[in-house]
Amino acid sequence: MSISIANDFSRVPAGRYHPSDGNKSGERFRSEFLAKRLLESDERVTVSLDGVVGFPSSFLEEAFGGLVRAGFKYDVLRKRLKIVTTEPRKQRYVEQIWQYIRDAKEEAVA
Amino acid sequence: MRFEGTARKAKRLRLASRRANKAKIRKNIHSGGLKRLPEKFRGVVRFQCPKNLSIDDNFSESLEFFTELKELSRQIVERRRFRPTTPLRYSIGIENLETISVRCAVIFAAEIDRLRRIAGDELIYQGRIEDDNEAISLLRQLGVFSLVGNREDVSTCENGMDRVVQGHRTAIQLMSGLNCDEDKLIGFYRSVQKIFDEFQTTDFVHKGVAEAMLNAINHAYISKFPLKYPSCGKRWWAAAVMNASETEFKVIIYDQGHGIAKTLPISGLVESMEVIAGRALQGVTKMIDSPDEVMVKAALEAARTRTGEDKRGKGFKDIQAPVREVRGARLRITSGRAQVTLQNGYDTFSLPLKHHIGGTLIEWVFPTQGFQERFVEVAQ
Repeated sequence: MSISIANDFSRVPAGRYHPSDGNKSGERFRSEFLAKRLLESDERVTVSLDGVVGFPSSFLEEAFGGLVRAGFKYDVLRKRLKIVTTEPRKQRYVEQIWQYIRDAKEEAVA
Repeated sequence: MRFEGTARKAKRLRLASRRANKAKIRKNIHSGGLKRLPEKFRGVVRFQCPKNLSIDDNFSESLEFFTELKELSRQIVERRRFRPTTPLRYSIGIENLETISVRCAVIFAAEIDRLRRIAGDELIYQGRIEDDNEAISLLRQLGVFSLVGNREDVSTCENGMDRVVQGHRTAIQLMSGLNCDEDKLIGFYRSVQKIFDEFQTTDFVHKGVAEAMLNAINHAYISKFPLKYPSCGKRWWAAAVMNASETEFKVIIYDQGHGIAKTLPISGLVESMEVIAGRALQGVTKMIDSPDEVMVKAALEAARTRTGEDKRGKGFKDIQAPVREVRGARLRITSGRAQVTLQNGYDTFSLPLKHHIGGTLIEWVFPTQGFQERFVEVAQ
């Protein structure tokens, strides 16, 4: 199961909360795409970052870090969530996303 | 005992209420609460714009003018409360205006937008739009005259880009919003392309612009502190201006909130000491940063936020990203009573300001050549 942020959601995602921050916010992407697909089946979910102009930190943190706050276990996400990109400049976002997930896990533990 | 009918009693009470309202207005005028309202409560209130509107070169006069505009918006709201049906005419003279800085042009345009939102159809521009005047040309491109319902000139205002005069700065029409909706962001980037053909929305531009807008929405207007002047919601204004020689272009995000110093909590003992020292020695020495300078610099440090939540506060890192990505780019944050500039990637220097500018203005200055070079690198 794959999700292309650029094709399925937006090329210019921005903001944390929906609808106060905007119509393409992290919260909306998490609830309507990520969490939904993860709950629908046990398949691995692949998220492609290609084609998106850029990812503001607040969007990434809420979309991916928010998964842990919504109840998804870190270990489960490690197994079932795959972030991919073919663009070299976007590799750093892959790192950033996993960092947000780890930070959210530590926050939850604390 | 005299009999009083219902109608007569209603009339008496109405007149008494009117007298009480008039007395209240007079009292407000005497106490200084309503400075601009004339004693007769009718007629025309006039005030003139200074010749040079600039934060760098004519700070006091420029700020005084902006304060008058803010006061005007407050008075309009006050007047409507007391006398909803009696029109009062205000006249803002800009005939004297000779030069205007980009920051002042954006603040001026945003103030006019606030007035339009408050005064509605009452705000009308009377006069001719002379393109020979560079300052007026910039204001026209930002859309100031179409904001004030200059109906006679509306056709030319709509096609502002066609009327660009050689040797003048070019600007996009001022945009504003209450959130970061997709169409707003795309509309803004497309508008910037109109003044800078080579402009491409790269990741660092999108991150910076979106986080600056979010800063206005989520932090600038916190309800803990009351706003002195009427607000138009948690609104941001955005503009982009290319200089006359097309060597440098500026992207600006502005809000009319409290300023960073008021909304960011003081963190730690060192910062508290710096703020106290700044407050005590303000005006005595320039060696110590003012409290506002300390707080704006603190906001530029990564992961600091008003909310105090760990997951938040990463926005200012994104706002700084363009400076680190484009050679020669600068970030200038004018907020409250401080101006902080970030350049060469990490060099920060600050300047105290005498008066509160009435919000936060985030400005990226990009050399066009540096931007083009960076875009080629990004594309590769």
